[in-house]
Amino acid sequence: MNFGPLLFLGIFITFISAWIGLVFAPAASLKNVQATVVEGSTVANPRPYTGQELLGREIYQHNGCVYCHTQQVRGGTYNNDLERGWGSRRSNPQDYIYDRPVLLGTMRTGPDLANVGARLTNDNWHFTHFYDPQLITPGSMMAPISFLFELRPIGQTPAPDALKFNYVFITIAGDPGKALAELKTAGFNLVEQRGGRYVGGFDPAKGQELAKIPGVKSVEPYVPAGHEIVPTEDARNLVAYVKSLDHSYEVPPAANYGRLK
Amino acid sequence: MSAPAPTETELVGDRLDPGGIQAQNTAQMLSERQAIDASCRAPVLLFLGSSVFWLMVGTILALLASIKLHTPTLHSNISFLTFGRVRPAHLDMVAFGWSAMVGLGVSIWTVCRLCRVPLRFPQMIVMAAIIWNIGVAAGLYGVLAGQSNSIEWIEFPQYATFTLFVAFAIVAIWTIMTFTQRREKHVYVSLWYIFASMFWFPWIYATVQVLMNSPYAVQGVPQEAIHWWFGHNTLGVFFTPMGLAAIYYLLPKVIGRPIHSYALSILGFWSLALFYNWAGAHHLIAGPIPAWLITMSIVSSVMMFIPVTTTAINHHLTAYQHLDMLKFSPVLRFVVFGAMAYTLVSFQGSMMSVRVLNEPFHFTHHTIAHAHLGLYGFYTMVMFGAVYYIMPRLTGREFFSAHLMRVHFWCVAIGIVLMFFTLTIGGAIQGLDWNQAKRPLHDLIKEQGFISGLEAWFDRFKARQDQPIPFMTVLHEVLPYLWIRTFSGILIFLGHSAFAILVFWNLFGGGVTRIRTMLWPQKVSA
Repeated sequence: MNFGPLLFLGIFITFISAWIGLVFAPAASLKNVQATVVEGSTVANPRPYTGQELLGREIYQHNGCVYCHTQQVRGGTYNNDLERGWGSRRSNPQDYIYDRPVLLGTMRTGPDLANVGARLTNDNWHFTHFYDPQLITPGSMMAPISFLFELRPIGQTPAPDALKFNYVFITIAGDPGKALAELKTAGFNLVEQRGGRYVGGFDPAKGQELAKIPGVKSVEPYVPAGHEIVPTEDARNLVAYVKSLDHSYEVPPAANYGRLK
Repeated sequence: MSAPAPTETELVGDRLDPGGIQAQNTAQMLSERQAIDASCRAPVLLFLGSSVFWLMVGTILALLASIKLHTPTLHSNISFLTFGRVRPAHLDMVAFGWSAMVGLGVSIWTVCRLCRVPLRFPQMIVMAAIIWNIGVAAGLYGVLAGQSNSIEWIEFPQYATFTLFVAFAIVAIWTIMTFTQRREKHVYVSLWYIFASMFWFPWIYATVQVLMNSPYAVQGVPQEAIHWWFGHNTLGVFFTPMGLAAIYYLLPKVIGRPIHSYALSILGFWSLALFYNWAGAHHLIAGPIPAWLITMSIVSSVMMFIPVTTTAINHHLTAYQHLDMLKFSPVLRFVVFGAMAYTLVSFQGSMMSVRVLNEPFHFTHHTIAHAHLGLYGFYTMVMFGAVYYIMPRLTGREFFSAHLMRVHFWCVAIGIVLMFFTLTIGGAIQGLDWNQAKRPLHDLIKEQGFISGLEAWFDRFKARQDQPIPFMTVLHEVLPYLWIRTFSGILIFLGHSAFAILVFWNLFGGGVTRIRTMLWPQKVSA
């Protein structure tokens, strides 16, 4: 073991074996995976991303969504990925042919997103969720990405894509239980308590009634009066990308690895 | 005790062959080592000092990320403090800022000592340190400013990656130049490891950059096979060899006895070289890549039992008879802790790679615990020991406070043990409740008490439930563990602060002139 070239040769050989096995072999064996054309049509699955979706993908990468969300429905024996409704089949090499880089992910602080575009299709849902995830899912552990939105005074006319935000903060004096029950009948849909105030959705038609309920000290709109929340271009691109995530098409049976029995 | 205890420098020579130890401690050997240390002063201290700075940056980012995992709305309106940027910034700072720089600094010094040549071409090393620092700073800016590419371990934008590559190439070339000019014919085991990592790392780094993050990227999922081949190898063939090299050097040095079995260390090295390289694809368990790849990686992960067992026998049997020295030598304390963590984390890793555990535990905090035990419990602890050993020899000054050393050791030791067990248990509950349990463990314990609740939980294990426990329920079940993790993070932050004060105080002129190792005088008086 005192001979330098021999040491070098050993280090080289052990390393090149793994290089051939884990780098070269998969790249060579999967390089011809292609989109499949649905019979009798010109639809190919998967489809390439649009320009806007690719821009949104960059926002997804830059803000590190991948550190909490995976994009793979696993096969295998010891997990519940399919049972959670995250996909109709396990993910397949074909699903990723347009991904550069492939963002499979390693952590699930949030749910899997491989088919999120098939589950959640409403733009306003996504915008509201990105701006304040806890409004949509109370107790969510998602970091809001409100910095992709602009809170600004309404100009002459409201922006067409401003968020439709019917949420209020309510301060209650005394026993909250009774007041909350009455608020509920008046159309107030409690989401959660934030620092002594109750935040929730309400029916704009009955907005005036809320303040008159006994025990309600104040009602403040979520968006300050005369203001609006407008998604930036980055936010719109990101939503376009997230909505494009849909691997629910069928793949040829030969290419579908299925589950291990 | 009649005679004063010997200093560490007097204890052993560099060849570590049994029987020849005392014979080598001639005045000539001592002056040779002093000349080597003097030549290493500026270049190696530049590496070590910078690494401690990045360690503090990485620790603060870690705390922030940890808090954001249970309190997601904290500072969420500030783009560069969002979790998805702080989390990769933390990883890159502790990996490329701290771990790589301290490892390179320690390795450069070890190479000079083991080749028995003073550091030649110090300009190369100084230049490499400066370029590396620029690369890490640029990368930190890139990730926080939102230029990350979200490929774990190589989030840095390409300008930073390229800068790091240039700096590493300089160090690697310097290592080969020094190796060819060596005056010691015998190539000690530490040198094999350092030599191997200097060769392996540039290759894996270049491969992943070209095949994943450039116009020549391969199409589709093979990218991920390459990604985790790289990700696992960063630990396996870059950090681990440098950490093992430091243990193999420091343990006999401090104890004053040769390693237990030199033949075993040869087996350990070559089996690590063979199996660790193949282990990466177990990160893609049940994912959309061919199953044979994953199976190959699981097999070689389990085969890692061989190098780990041999290394464990060597380390622990060398240290076993001299554990009383743990009381007096801070170096030994950190190094032995690191060696024990290496054994534990490797055996755990082999077992975790097997499908029945890998599938449910993947995507949970269980993996995070494992990663921290490896890169922190093993690698970082060993490097702490190495810095404590090397710095006084380079600056010619002792560390000014033994109390702060103890604060450092106990804070980080308790911190990492607490973090490891908390996240291991929390992550196991998370994974099994998501994937195999019929009802959440915490509910069952609340209803039936601890023992029978636990029994009922295990009783109902079955993969593929028709109605899995809701995702959110399990997420909230893990929250208490995440709070404890933040607490352990605060402990580790305190420990690192003590360490940084010691290092920078020593670097900028504090502390008495070095005579003997810090904690020895106590043994004399006792």
